[in-house]
Amino acid sequence: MGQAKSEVLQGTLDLMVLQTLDAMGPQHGYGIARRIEQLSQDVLKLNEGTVYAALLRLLQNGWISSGWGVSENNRKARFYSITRSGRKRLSSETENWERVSGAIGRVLQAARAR
Amino acid sequence: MLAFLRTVLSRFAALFGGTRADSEVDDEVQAHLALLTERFERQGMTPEEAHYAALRQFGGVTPLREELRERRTWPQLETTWQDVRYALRQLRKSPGFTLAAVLTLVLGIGANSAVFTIVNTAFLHPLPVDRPEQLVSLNRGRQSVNLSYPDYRDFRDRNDALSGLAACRFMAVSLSISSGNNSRVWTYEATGNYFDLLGVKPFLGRFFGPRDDDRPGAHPVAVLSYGTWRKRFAADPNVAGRTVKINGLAYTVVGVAPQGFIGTERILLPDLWVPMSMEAQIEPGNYWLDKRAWRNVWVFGRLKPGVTPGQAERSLNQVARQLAHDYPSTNEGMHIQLSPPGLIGRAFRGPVMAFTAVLMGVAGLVLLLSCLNLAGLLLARAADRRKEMALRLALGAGRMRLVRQLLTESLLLAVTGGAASVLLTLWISHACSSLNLPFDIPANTSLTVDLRVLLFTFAAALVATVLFGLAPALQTVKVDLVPALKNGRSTGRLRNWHLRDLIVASQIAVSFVLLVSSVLVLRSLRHALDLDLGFQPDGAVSVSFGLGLQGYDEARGRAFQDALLLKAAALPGVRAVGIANNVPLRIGTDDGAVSAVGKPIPPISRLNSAIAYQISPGYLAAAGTRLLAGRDVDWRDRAGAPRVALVNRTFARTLFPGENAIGKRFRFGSDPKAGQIEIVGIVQDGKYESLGEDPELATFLPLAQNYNHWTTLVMRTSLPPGQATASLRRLIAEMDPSMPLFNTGSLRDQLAYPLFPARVAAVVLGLFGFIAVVLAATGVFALVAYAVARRTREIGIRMALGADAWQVLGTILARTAALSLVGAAAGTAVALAAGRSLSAVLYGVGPNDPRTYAVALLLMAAICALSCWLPARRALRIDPSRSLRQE
Repeated sequence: MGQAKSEVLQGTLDLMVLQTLDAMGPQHGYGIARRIEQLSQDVLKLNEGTVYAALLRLLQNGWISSGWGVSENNRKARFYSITRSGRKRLSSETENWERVSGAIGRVLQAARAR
Repeated sequence: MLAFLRTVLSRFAALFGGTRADSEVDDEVQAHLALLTERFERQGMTPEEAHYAALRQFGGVTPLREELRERRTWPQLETTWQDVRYALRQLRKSPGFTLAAVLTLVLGIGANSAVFTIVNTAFLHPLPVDRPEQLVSLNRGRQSVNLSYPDYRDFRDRNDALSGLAACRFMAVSLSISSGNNSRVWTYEATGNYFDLLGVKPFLGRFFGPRDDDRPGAHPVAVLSYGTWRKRFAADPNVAGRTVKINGLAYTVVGVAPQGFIGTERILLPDLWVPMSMEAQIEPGNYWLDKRAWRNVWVFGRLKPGVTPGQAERSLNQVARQLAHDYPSTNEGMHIQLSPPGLIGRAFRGPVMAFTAVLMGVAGLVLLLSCLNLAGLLLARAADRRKEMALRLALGAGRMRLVRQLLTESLLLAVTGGAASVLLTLWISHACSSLNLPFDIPANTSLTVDLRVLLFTFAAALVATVLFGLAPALQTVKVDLVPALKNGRSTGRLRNWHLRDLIVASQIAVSFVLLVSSVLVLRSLRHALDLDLGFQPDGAVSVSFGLGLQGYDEARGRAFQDALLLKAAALPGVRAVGIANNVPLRIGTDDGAVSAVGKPIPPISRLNSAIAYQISPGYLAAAGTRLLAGRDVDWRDRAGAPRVALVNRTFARTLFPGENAIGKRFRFGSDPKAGQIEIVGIVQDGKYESLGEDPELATFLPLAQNYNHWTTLVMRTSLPPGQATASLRRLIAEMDPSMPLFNTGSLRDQLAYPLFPARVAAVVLGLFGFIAVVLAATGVFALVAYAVARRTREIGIRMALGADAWQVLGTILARTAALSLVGAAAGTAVALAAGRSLSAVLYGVGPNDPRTYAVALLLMAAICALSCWLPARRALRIDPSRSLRQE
């Protein structure tokens, strides 16, 4: 059961990570976590560790690439950036997300109206 | 594609060298946590508060690390590797169990791969010639593989289905490489197209071809086998062109056959090949290349591309019908059947197939038995591991995961067993290749262990795993958590027991079947040893030689034979001495169709065939063959005197039913003009070609009236056989120092050849029976020992309450006894049903012989009782006070 829930979360988290990298350019994990926190305005409570699982998934699908760099506090850090196929994926997934969430929204609205 | 490869490689790298990727992740996580902590400190927390807040916000580090690790590698592969390592640890922890399991498996799988190696060598392994699948062997009807040379030529020239047809014959010759040094070797006489048709290339020099086979006696050339070239010619690279003497005539060696090429028959090892046109020189005094009635050659051909054996058979039988029409006296009713080459047509193939089928069946039973044994072992082990399994289940392990783990253990055992079996098979085939067979004909006994055998062995191991591993594994994970964890007894005691009961009962059933078959063959071997052979093998020796092979013509040959008889009769200790062309139960009997004079002559296909021997006066007494009526041949029966013969009882009764055959006449063949032979004596029946044959017609003709250069001297003597044989050797060496002898020694020892099939059957099936008994005994032992161990407490209570020894024994043994009875009953049923397949290797014992069953039942009962005894004794020695305090 837990699996079904996390799958939904995984999908959306992957989408948010992709969007972040697309908008902000190369980022390390910490940066991505900050950006999601900031944009979601604390609505989504996020275990920041799960960002790394999402990053590995995206890497294995070839949607992002990674390389080593130096972070703000002069530490060695791994930076991730979106690839071309990642952008394609992002746009198709975004479209899909909007369609589905729109549909869900309409269904829920209809339910409230009754 | 490249990206995919990279992923695969990185996953592999991660699988085995997981630590580096782990440490990189750690670095990343540590950096993240440090940044978070700094941020919280900036927001005003103490460093310690900030640290914990960061950890909270990040979530669990360890689960993340595991998740990443699982993502990076193949989780399936990773857990399999884990399972393997765990299984190895488990097996190492119980070496006794592991050893027992592997040994059981080696017995089961090893028996099968050994038998399969035989099947592979005899049937599956392709002959080392060009496109062997196109080769076919011609058989005349069901029984015989021999055709006459004129018939061969007609088939070769008139059929339209074969791209070539060749003929060959296997013969002993006398080979002399340097002067005066003769040895008896075996050659193929082969038609000129033989090597071309097989598509082999010479290792050295050239082969002979059609031009070397065009005129009788014109081309004395020889091809050496690779083995002979190494052994007798010291691998001389310039051997082509050397001259050797075969039967006293000079031949030029033209080439050497490649290693591994032994012609078309898998079981014969030729030393030489010579052209068929040299037939008269290879077989002195026996010229048959133009005789349609003499069926002496083996014929094989190559199918034209796209022609099926069925079509070829039809085409050849058209020719056969023409021949039957043109030559009714020799070819009436002739019918050609094709068979794969390799085992001398169908003649040998049938019995070999029947025997290997029996072997396969028996080996399969042994495998089944060892699987059952292992299943029993694993079940006992499973019961001991109930607590471990329950604990792992309680901690959240999936049941399928546990089954997988247990199956991995079984698979590991099976693979180990398989590997050991391969070693065993290699060892067996090595031992076989240096085997000395009790025949004068050089037989190929090297077994082919190749990829097929390996695949078969591991397939058997895999099947075994599923057979013995799955049920116990499923049973193991079906535990009730609460009682198991509380160290309590399993409440559903019977649940564990049903499967085990079934296993033990089937073990007893299967081993009973094996026991019956081995008792049957052992009894049949004893029968064979006691058979009335028609001569007395004890107290007599013999030596054989071929005078024609040494260049003796008939006059010199007769003189030699007569002189030898006189000198041998003067040796000390001799009671009787005689000469025959051959003695019964040796390879190479002569037979011919016979018909009674003065009675209607039946058609060719209905003529009786009689085995014919040529004997000198004194032979009957020397061989110990009883004369039932009339007289023996004597010195009156010279060439020119009226032709006479002795016949055996079956001959007399078949040709002259209800009459006194003495004084009656018969002839060879059905031609009324053929010479008539008067019967002057009747001798006892005997066995002539094999121990298992039905009574056959036999006739003994005076050697003086029917010269044969093949000479077997038989001497009945009071001296020990070794001494008597040595004096015969000396005697012959004085008369002709270069004479090669064969089949020397006591007649009893030389029975090894006819007894060979019975001996092999007895050894192999006896061995399998022994294995079966051992496995059944350990199975029963394990069952009872386990029952005692599990019920120590119960027995203790019973004893404390006053049960006596018999009552305790009753509780322990009642079940075993019942199971044994059920198993033996089932085994009897199966053995009765399957017994018929054994009749191919039985002599004088029916497959349903009641005494055999009685013996097997008694043995089985004794084995069960014995294997119960030790654990039962332990049960009796249980000390109630101790056993009650135990838990």
